[in-house]
Amino acid sequence: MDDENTFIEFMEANSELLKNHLISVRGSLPERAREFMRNRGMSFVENMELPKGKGGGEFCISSITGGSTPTVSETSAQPAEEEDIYGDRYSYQDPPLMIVEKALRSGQYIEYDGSVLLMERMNSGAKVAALGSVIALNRMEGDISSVGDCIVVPSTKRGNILFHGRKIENDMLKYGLNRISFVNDEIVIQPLSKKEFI
Amino acid sequence: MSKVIAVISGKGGVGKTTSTANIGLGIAMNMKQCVVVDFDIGQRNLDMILGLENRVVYDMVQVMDSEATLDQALIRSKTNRNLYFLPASQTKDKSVLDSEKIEELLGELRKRFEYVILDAPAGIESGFEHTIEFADAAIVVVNPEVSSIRDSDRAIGILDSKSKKALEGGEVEKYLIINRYNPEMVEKEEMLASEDILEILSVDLLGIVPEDKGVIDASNKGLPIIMNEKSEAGKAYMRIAKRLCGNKVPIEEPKVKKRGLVGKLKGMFS
Repeated sequence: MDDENTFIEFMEANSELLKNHLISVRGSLPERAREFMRNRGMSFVENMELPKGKGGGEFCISSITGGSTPTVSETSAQPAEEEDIYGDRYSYQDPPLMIVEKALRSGQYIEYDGSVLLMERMNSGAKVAALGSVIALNRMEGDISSVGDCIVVPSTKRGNILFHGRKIENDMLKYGLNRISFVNDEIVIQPLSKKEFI
Repeated sequence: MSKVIAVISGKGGVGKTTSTANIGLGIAMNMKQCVVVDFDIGQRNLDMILGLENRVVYDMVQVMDSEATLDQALIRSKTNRNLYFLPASQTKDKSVLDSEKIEELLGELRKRFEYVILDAPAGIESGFEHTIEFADAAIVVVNPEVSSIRDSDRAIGILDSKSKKALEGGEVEKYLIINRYNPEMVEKEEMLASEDILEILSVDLLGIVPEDKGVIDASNKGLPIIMNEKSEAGKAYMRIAKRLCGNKVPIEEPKVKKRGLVGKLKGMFS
């Protein structure tokens, strides 16, 4: 859409439909449109680039509550306690999606009750522990731990992935983007297929 | 306007102090007033690399504690009149550093010098945090190996979150020096290439210093390699210094040297 007003009208008309989705915008939004979407609690990313290879392109992540929390602060690298991740908090209602727009550097640590979307690279020594899903769209060489619906990661040689406490071997990640999830109580790794793209 | 630049690495032994000495001297050779400050309290080395160890009488901690004046502690370089050196204390430890006193000292140095270069200690402890606290910019020295890169990445993360500029919502300028780069090893894929390192660290490249056996000899003699006009490492440091002084100097990636027949024969028996 070239016209700002048309875009806002479209979003207003479809806000109920779109508010539980992550909206990927090609190009940059004008500030007024950004403000409108934030006020409506919509999650969105701009100029998102996915890794090349089997299974890439724009996609929509369903069932994620709107809103965004884009900042990450430097923390002391204290490992999360097991009970914190797998304890009572798992039954909480989904908190907003955390969108991390900067590279995660060694020693930076995110511990979050909801789902986390990493837009930039995750370096060796960085860590994300989430009760929701974790989606890493760029190079991933850090530690990811998730007890959510899925982990989405590119293939990696140095990454360290734990899905519901189970170690995922890196040589099993063969696709451009790999979706690690449960199918019939078994962990399955699938390419993020084009059918799932918008 | 004066600029405070911290030279950091995270990991020890990557050539941080050697780089500080060469950059400081290079800036001075470009006719700028420069002071290099050794922030490695308890493990002073910069004095030796600059060939000034026998001139140290007072140190930075004594200045901060008003036991000596700044003029008494500052040492003028033997090789360049534009370069001064402020030594670290060798008998005390990092716990003596205090933010207020450091800010006051750096304020005094800013008034006198165009460039204030701080040689940070290795690691990410309090000594490191004090070095980056009031810096306007940081030079990250890294070796093309994974452990050095990870430690530098960690140091950059702390710089971006704990420096005064970062706490005020700004960002400390960051530049990268890739030290001990060996193009032969890169060609054989035994060493990380510069573009891989830049992709991981996401920092502007200030220069690439090739591996050069002459650096150790120069450091041992207290004559920084930048003084040797034939040395490839020395030339690389001079280009870095010129860039820091605002000159547009293209980045030169070290290339594999083509060997003649004699060189090839030597290589076969080495």
